[in-house]
Amino acid sequence: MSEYRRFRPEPEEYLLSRLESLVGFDRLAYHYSKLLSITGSTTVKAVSPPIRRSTADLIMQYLRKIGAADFESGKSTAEIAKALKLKQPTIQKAISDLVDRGAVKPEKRGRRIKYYLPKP
Amino acid sequence: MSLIKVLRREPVSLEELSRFLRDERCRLLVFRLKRLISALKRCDRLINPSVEYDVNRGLDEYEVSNILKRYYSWRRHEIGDALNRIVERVLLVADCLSQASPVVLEEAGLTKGLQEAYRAILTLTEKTSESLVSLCDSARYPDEVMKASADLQTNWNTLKTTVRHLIIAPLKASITEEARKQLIAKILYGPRSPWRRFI
Repeated sequence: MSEYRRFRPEPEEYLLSRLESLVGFDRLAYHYSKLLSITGSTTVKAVSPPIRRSTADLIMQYLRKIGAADFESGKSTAEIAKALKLKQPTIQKAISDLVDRGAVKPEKRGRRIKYYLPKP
Repeated sequence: MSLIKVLRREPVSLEELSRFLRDERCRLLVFRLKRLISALKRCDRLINPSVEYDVNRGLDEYEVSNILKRYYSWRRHEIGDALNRIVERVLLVADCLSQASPVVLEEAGLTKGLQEAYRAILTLTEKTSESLVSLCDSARYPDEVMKASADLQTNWNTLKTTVRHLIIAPLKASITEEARKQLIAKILYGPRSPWRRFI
């Protein structure tokens, strides 16, 4: 018994020998698992980069979604910032660029300035 | 001729490869893989249809967006059905692979790899159907429609590449290799007999 224990193979070697002795479908599955461990999740990460959108795009998308076409339906910078979960200075900077380009129209009544999409 | 092709590891169709596989599970896997490939092709035909266009002027943005919106709204349910079918058939392939020996499943990490692959495919399918819904429902203006259709194309291409890279290509390579080994054994030792049941 002691001799048997002395010549008993190590667990890793035993596992390797078991894997190498596989036949038929099991051998096929083992080959596939080796290939899958190589291609694995890195392939998925490589082919699906995160999509980044600019703040101006987000603002335009939001105004289109709510259908801001006049002063009543328009939104102020604070409201846009709250809806998009961004800081107000970020919105202010992006929206001033949009106003310069003519993509968004500002209207001031009293102390309130609201932004909406101009009519085509 | 397919014998020589298999021995040389040249590309052979799955039908020809299944002739050399004796194990029933291997044959079932080949059958399910073929069904997955056909589902992928069907979805690809629906999302990227062949277009016969015979007008001598270029289309403007409004016309292109109108065509895209009408086409995808018309084919919406079929595309959704095709996407569901892809996921179902990936599951069937995974089910077939799960019949392998526990040594392969646990020690070689096949279960974990399959889980990751399935999760990635499911996420991408959800993304593709979301972009299809946004194209058909919420996009109204031409630029929105164009952007939504570009999203749909990107997501679909990523899904297609992922299924091909994680499931189809490695499985096809494994099946080819297994068929080659079984063929060599058959050439060397002759057909199976009660005294030599496993190759």
